[in-house]
Amino acid sequence: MVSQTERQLLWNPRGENRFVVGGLSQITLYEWSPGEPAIRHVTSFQDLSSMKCFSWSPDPSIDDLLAIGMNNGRVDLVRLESTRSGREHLQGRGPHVTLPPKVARACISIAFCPTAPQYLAVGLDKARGDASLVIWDIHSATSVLAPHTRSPSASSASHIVAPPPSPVRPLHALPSPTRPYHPIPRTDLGPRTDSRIVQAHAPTESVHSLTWMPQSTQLLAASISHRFLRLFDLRSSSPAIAHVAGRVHSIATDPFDQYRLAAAVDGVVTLWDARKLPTPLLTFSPRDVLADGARSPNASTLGVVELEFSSVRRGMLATLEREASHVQLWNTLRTEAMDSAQERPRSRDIASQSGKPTKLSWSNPTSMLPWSASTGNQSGLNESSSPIPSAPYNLVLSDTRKTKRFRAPLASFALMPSARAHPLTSSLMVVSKDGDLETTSVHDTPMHAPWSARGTLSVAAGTSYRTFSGVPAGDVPSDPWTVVPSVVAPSLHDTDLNRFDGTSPSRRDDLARGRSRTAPGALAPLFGRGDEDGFPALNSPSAKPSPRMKHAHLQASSKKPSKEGTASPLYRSLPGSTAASPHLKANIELPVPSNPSSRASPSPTSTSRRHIGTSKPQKDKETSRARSTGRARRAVDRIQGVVDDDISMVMRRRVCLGYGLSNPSHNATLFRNGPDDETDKSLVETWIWIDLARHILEGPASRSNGYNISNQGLLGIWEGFPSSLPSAAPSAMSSPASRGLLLDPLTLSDADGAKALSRSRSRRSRPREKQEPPSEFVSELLTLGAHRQMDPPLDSAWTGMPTSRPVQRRFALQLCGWRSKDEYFDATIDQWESEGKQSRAACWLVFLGQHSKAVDLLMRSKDESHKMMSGTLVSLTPSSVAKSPELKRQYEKLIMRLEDPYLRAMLTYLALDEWADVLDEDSLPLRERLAIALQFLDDEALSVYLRRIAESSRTHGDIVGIIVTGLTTAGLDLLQSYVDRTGDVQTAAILGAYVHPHQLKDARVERWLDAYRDLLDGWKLFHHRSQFDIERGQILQELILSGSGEPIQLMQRQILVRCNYCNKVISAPQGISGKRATACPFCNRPLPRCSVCLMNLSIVPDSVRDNQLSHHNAALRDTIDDAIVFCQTCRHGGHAAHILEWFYGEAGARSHGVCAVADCDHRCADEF
Amino acid sequence: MQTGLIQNAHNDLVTDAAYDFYGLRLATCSLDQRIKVWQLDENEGTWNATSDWKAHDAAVAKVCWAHPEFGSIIASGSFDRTIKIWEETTADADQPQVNGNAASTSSNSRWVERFVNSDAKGSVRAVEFAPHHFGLKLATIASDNFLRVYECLEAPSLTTWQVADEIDVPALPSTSSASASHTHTLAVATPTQTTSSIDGPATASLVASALQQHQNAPTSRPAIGNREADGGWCLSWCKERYWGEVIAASCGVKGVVKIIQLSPSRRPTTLLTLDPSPSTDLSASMNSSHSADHDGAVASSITSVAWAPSCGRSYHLVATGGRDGHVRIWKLKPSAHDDDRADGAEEGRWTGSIVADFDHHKSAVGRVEWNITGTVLSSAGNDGRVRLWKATSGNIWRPAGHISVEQAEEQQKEGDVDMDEGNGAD
Repeated sequence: MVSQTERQLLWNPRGENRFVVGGLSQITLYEWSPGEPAIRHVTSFQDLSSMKCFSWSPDPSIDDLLAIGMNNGRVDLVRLESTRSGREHLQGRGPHVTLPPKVARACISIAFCPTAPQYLAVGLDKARGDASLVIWDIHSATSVLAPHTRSPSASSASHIVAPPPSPVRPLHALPSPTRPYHPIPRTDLGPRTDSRIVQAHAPTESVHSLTWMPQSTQLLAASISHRFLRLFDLRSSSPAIAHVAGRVHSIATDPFDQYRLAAAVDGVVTLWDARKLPTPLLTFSPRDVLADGARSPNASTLGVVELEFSSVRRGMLATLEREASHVQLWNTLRTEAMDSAQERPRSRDIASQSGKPTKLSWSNPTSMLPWSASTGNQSGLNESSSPIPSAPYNLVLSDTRKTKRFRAPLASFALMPSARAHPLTSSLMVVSKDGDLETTSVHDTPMHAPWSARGTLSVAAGTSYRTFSGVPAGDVPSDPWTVVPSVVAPSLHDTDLNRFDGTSPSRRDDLARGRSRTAPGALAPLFGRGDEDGFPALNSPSAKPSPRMKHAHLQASSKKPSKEGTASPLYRSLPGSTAASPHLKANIELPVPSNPSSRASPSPTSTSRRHIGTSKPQKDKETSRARSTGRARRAVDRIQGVVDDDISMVMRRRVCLGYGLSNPSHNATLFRNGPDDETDKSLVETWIWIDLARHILEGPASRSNGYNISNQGLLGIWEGFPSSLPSAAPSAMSSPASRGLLLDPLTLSDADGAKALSRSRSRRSRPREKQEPPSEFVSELLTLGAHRQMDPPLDSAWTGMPTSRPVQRRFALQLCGWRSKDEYFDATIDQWESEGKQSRAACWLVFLGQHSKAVDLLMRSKDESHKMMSGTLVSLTPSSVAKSPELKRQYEKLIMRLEDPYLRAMLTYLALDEWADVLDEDSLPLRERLAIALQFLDDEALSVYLRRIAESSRTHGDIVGIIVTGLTTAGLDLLQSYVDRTGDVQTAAILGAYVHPHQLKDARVERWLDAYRDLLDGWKLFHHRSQFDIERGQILQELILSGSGEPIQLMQRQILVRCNYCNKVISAPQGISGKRATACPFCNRPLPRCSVCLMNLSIVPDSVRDNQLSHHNAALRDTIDDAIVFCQTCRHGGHAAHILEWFYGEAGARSHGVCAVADCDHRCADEF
Repeated sequence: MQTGLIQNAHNDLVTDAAYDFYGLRLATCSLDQRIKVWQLDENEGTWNATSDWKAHDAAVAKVCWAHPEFGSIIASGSFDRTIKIWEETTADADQPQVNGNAASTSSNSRWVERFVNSDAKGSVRAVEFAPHHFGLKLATIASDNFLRVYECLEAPSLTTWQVADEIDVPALPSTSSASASHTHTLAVATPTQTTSSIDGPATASLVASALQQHQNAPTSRPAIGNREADGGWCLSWCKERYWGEVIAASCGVKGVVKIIQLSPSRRPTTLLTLDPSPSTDLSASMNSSHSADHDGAVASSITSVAWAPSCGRSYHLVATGGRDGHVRIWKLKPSAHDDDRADGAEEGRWTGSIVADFDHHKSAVGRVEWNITGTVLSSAGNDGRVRLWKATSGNIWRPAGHISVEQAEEQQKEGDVDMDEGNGAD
C-alpha cells in the first residue's frame, strides 16, 4: 500500500462492514453499513507517531489483524480489538508481534497476500546492499496473536472456520478458505536472516507501492524507486520480473479480472494485462473528463494519487486526484478484438509524450501485438496457473461519473462492497484531509426510460425494468361498431350548465353510468381527466389517479348537490387538497395542481457525516426506511398518473369510447366526466355546436350559387363572403381578400372593443356607410333558413334593437342552438326553473327586460340566496334611481364574491350597465355568450365581439372558438394552435376530416390525419382506424353524389390481375366489355383453367360487375362463386367454389389432402 | 396498479431498451453482450422473454426496431464497433446462421443475424431506423464521430446494406442558413446580406474549431486506447416525412446538436446547429453552487438527443440531455409558415429556440426520451432518477414527477400487497 503521512482509508479486505482510517499517528476502526445513519466508532490506536503505512490482513480467523510499518522499518502485527476495552498504548500489554528490519530504514509499503494471508510483503526504503522487498511468512506470528483459534499444526487456512459473515456479501475475489495456493518457495538468504523471511528482492531500491495480484500467491506488483512498475513472479526463488518504466504512484488490481492491473503512472492511469506487460491496454488521464460537465481544467493537471477497482461493477475504476474534492469513476468495457486489419490507430493516439522512456510503446493503442520477449519472462508469466487463454481484447473507456463534490479536499477513499450482485449504486466512504468521514453513493447504472406506442414507460433499474403501462392489462377495446352512441337530444336551449352549478346530479350520474355501459371494460371513469391543465394527478397522494378514486370522486360530488357540501369528503379528509382550483368558480372543490417538484422527496443519496472521534446516532433507522417506502409508492403512483393522464392515453380512451366522425353529439357526451377541465368543457361545447351546425348547414341546400355555407362559423355567417369562392372562408384574420367586407379595422384593440360593446343596447345605431354583405348571400341564407324551417328573421321587435342584418342574426343565433321565438323561450325558462336553474332563468329574464318575472322566479326558489337576490334585483331595476358611484363600487365587490356565474352576469348587467363585462364572463359557455351578443349587441359591436373572440381563441388555442370561425382556414389556424397547446391531434384530425380535402385542402389537416391514423395503428386499433377512414369516405361520397365534390380515390386498388401473355391488367378496360370473359381482353388469349373443372377462368370486368351489383339484388349472390383462388405455394387454383369443394367436400369435412392437379402433392389447404 | 417489474432482465446492467411499433415487444440489451426480446401478455400485463442471444463481442450499446412493414427486424450497435441487423424467422432447421437462442424459449422463433458491419472505427453508440416513409434505412453514430446511414438494398434478404451517407459530423459545416440562439430565433439573413449574416456563423465556427483543436489536440490527451468517457454520441430522426430525411445528431465533446438534412441528390447539409453554450454561461452564473466550476467554460457533451413525434404540431421539439446536467427542449420551426405551407420547407430556413432548460438532475443526464405524442419527456440522470417533463396548458414545460431507480425497484415487495389492498377496497 502506498506510504502516506496523510490519512488513509482502508476497507475490510473481506468485505465486512468495517474500515480503518489511519494516519497522523493513529488508526481507528469504524463500522458502518448501508442504511445506518451514523458511522460507528469501534476502537482506535493512538500514539503511532512513527507509523508509515499499514495493511489489513484478509485472514478470516483474525479479522482485526493489522500490519503497521514504522519509520524505522519495523513492522508490527497488532490486533485492533485488543485495545478496545483498555485503550492501552500499543507498546503496552496488547499482544503484538514485531518483524524487525535487517537495516533500519523507513517501511514505505506493506501488503498482505489476499490468497494466503500468512504472506506479508513489505516494501522498504533504499538501503545499500540490502533488499527492499521482503516477503514474510507470518504464520507463527498469527498463532501467537490468536492462539485459541489456531492449532500449531494448521499450516494452511483450510481448517479455519470463517467467522459468521456480515450482511455484506464477500467479494468475488476473496480467498475462499479451501482454495489451494502454491506456497512461496524459500530463498536462501543467508544465515543471519530472520527465519520468517521467505524471499527478498529489489536490492538497493526503494519500494513505494505493493500489490498482490488477486487469486495468486505468485504475482506481486511493486513500484520501484519511482521509476518502474515491476511484476515479480515468486514461484521460483529467483523470480521472473516484468517491468514497466514510469513514476508509479498507486497500484490497483481488479477483483473481476485476475490479470488486470492498473496504476497511476505519472499522473496518468494505465491499465495492463499482467500477462502482457509492458504494453498497456488503456491509458487515460483526468483530461479525458473535460467534457463531462464544465469543470476547472487546472485541477486536472495534478495527477491521480489513489485508484481502486470496484468490487461490484466489472471494469469500473475509481480515482482520486491530488487536492480533489471528489472521486472520479471510470467505466471500462472489454471488447473482444477483431482482426487487425480494422485496427487503425487514430491520430490522437499516436502522439507520444515527451520524456517518456522509450520502453513503453505508446504508439500502439491495443495489445494485439504478441508480447515481445524483451525481458525473457513472458513464458513464465503466461504459464501462471491460468485456465483461461488470454484472448486478445481491447479496453474501451466508455463512460465516467463523479461523486458529488465534498466540502474539503479528500485524503483517501474506499469503494464499499455490496451485498447485491448488481446494486443500483456504487457506494464510497471518503475521508477528507480534515478527517471528516462521509459516505456517498453514485448512481452508475446506465439509465434509460423508453416509451412505447401504448404509452408504456419503462424505467431501467440496474438489471431490471419497472414498467408503467398506459394501457391496463386485459384492456381489449371493443370494436368501433359495437359502441352504442349515447345520443343526447339536441335540446336547443340546453347548454348543459349543470356542470357549472352542480345542481343536477342525477342526470350526470345517469350519463356516467350510461357511458360506462357503452364501453364495458374500458377505463370509463378515467376518461378525459387532466390532460393538459397542469398535473392534477401529481400534487398529492389524494389525487392518485386510480380509476377507483376518480369514480368515488364522481359519485361523491354528484351525491352532494348543495353548494356548500360539494367538496368530496374523500378529498377534504386528506391533506394538501383543500384549496379550490382558481379556474373553477363552481363550487366543486378539487385538489389544486401544484408544482410536483416542490413536493419532491429528498434525494435518497444516503449521506451521513461524522467527525472522527465523535459518535452519536442521529436518526431512527426504522422510520427512515418506512418513510422511504412510502415515498417510493407515492413516486410510482405519480409516474403512473402522468402516464395515464397524458393526452396520448386520453386520446386512446376516447377513441375506444367511440370518439369519431359519425356522431358529433355522441362525441360531446364523452367529456362530461371532466368537470374540472377547461379544455374538456370547451370540447363539449365545440361538439354540441358541431352537432347543431351539421344539422343546419349540411346537405346540398347549403351549397348553391357559389356560396358554401357549410362549415362556416358565426363570423362567416355574420359578415358574409363573396360568391364563387366556395371554400375560401372570409377569415378576418388571415384572408386579405375578404378585408373589404370588414366593418372595422383589425387593429381594434380590446379597449376599443370594450367601449363599443358597452351599453350598446341603449345607443341608437349610427347610419352605416360601410359595405354590407352582398344581397345574394343574404338571400342564400334566407333560402337555407326556409329549407330548414327556421324561425323568421330576427327583427328589432324582439329585443328592441335595430339591426341591418336580421337574417344573419337569426341564422347565427340558431346556429348557437338558440331559438328566438317567445313561446320557445318561455318554455325554456320554465324548464330551467324546474331543473333548479333559477339563476339562469332569472338572468335571461333580466336580459330580456322582464324584471318582475325574474323577481317572482327567484322568490319561488328554495335557495335562500336566490330569495335574497330578488331583493337586490328589485333595487336595481331601471325604474330605480340612478346608481351612485359608491353603490357601483359595492356591487363590483359583491359581483367578485358571487359564485354563481349567472347571478354574476345578472348583477353585472344591472349594476354596471355593461354588456362587455357580461360577455367576458368566462364561466358562461361561449355559446350562451354568443347568444347574448347576437340578441343584445348592435351590429358594429357584434362584429367587433365576434372578431375579438376569433382572434383570442386562435391565440390561446381555445377550441370552442370554432363556433365563431367555423371550419374555415381561420378555424384551421385555431385548430393548429389548439394542437400546439394540447397535443390533441385526435380532435383536430376529426374536425379537419369534415372539410378535408373536398372543401378545404390544407397540408396541416393532412398531417393531423396522418399523425392520428399512425397513432391508431400504433395502438393496434386497426378497426377504429378503418372505421375512421370509412366515415371519411362516406362524407366524401355524399359530396360526390351530390355533385359538389370531385371524385377522389382514397385508396388505390391493391391487387391486379395481369394477363400471362401480354402482361396487361385484365380488369382495367372499360370499353372492351363485350368480349369473352374467359380471355384476355387485349390479346384474346385464354385465361388459365380451373384445376378442378378445367374450364377457363373468367374475369368479369369491373364495370360489368358494378352494373350487376347495382341492378340485381346483390345480397342474394355469394361473391365467392365468382372468386378465383390460388394456392400461394404451388400456384394452382381455380374457381373458389370448386376448390373448396375439392378440399372440404359438401359437408365441410376434409375430403382431399393434396392439390387437384396431377403430379402436385402440395397440401394447399394445410398452409394457413 | 398498472406497474410491472421485469426483474433481472439480464445478468449484467442493462444498457438500452426499445419497444416495437405496437409496444407489445421489448428488446433489451446489456453489458452482458446479449439481446433479449420480451413479449407483453396483454391480459396479464406481464412481460415474458421470448428470445435471448449473445449478440456481440462487447457490451451492446443500443437496440432499435424497424417499422413492422419491413418485418420483424432489430438493429443493434455495440462497443465491439459493429452494427448488426437481426431478423426474426419462424423457420428453424434450414437456417444455418442461427445465432443461438435460449433453450427455454417456448416459441420457435429465432433471431438470425442478417448483416454485420464494422465500418466504424469506434464503438457504435446509437442506431436508429429511419421513419418508414424513407424505406429501410438505418442511421448509426459511432465514437469515431461519423454518422453513417445505411440503406437496405435487398429488403427481402436484408443482407445487403449500402452506406447511403457517411458524415463526419464535427466537420460538416454549419451552413449559414440559420443559427439558433438561446434567446430568440435569429432572423435568417438572405444570401445577399453578406456582412451581417456571415459574421455570426463564421466566428462561431472559428470558436468551435479552436475549441475542437484545444480538445482534440494530440498533445493535450496523451493516451492509449479508446477513450470515450466524456463524449456523447447520439442521433434522432425527424419522425415526419414532410421535410425529407432530417437527423439530429451530436458527436464527441462539443456539446452541439446538428440538424442534418440528407437528400439523395445533394450532399448532406446542416440545417441548424443547436448550441446551448450561451445559456450554459447564463445558468452557470445563476447556479451559485457550481459557479466555481464553470470558469473553464468547456462545452459539455450531449449524451442524448430525442426528436419528438410532432403529432400534428406546427413546430418540432427536440430534447437534449448533456453531461452538464441540463435537459433542454428545443423548439424548431421548419420554415416560415406564412408564405406557403406545402413546399416552403425545402429551403433550410429552420429556426430553433430553447423552450425549456432544466438542471434538476444536478448531474450528467444520460438519456432523454419522448412519449408517442411528444407531450411527455423522460430524462434519466446520474442522480439516479428518471424525471418526467410535461407542458402545461400555457405551453410552459414543467417537471411532472420523478422516480429514483431505488423507488422503481423497491416496490417489488410491496407491489403485490398494494394490489391486494386495492382489490379489497373495491
